[in-house]
Amino acid sequence: MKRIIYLACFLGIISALAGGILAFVNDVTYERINEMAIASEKANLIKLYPNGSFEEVTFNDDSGLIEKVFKVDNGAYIYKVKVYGYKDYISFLVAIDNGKIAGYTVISVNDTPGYGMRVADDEYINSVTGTSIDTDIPLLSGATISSTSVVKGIEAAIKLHQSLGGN
Amino acid sequence: MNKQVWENFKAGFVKENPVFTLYLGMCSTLAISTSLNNALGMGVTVIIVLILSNTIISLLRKITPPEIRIPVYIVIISTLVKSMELFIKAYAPTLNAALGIFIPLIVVNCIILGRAEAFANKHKVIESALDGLGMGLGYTFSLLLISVIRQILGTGILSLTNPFTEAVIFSIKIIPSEYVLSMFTQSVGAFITFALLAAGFAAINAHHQAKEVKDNG
Repeated sequence: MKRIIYLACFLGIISALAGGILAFVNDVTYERINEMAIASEKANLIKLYPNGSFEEVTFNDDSGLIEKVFKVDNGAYIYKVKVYGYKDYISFLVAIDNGKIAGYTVISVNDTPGYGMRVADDEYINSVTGTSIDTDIPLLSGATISSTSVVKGIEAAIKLHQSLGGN
Repeated sequence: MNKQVWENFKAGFVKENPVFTLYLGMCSTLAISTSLNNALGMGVTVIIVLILSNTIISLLRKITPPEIRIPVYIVIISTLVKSMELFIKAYAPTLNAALGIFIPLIVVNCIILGRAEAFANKHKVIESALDGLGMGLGYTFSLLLISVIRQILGTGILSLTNPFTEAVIFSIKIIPSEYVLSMFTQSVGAFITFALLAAGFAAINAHHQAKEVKDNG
């Protein structure tokens, strides 16, 4: 019996020490990890609005595709969307302003080079940008599966945009 | 005794190379050995964890009750790994993004628990720390071998960036992009590269053994 109590105490002390160390390390790194996360988010946001300032908005999304929403100081909204492409997730940002797709940029895509990867190319960016949110978002021939997923994501963003009351 | 320590340290590279001859820690080896950056990042992280875990476990070896030594080791190792993960997230976010789940999975890397059980709980602190360094370097050396081959064959480019500042240290184009075998960036390439290298290490060790037998008899 004595032995069991001794073992339990020993393991308890080691675990408590470990917990203390972890709390200390968490304390030291917590702020910097948050800063890094915001900085990496912002590096993508300024591709769409180089001089904008951004504010994260809370939202309620039924589609499950929208990860984050940011409000830009000029009234536009930026949606961070994650959809499943051809063989991996595609993560992208789409900005909606004045009833139009004001900007679109891909953060990460891992589909077939020369096919699905083209959803990140200027050709597709230019064809999506400027489209009215009341019309169909263009697909990309030769990259049907990947671009269909992207369009599905953009449509979810439009729906959310309307429910948020954005212009 | 010093010679013994040196022998232990050296053994980690070829004779007792954790990856190619002991076949330990293979999951992470196969998964992250796609680029020089990942290999170095993972290697250095494992070296730090291994040295610290070996040192702490060796320090506690006289007071650790043998019945519960494994749970004690696991608590120590996971504390170290979690701390490393937080530091990597804070100071090298791109490395964190590239290695992802394989940083927390260092906890279950058998090399670390294996060395705690096989070495650190029976040896003095300095010897244990050196053993950790040697084994860690052996692991890193194996990762570098696989990843250099995979990166060159798979992408045609050998490059290294500083994970803290993201400055490119060097980037050499070796194979024109029309001739790269993208298979090597996938898991198939990992298995093929690993198997060929493991065969090579087995051949070297067999050769040495044969020579030793001949010399002694």
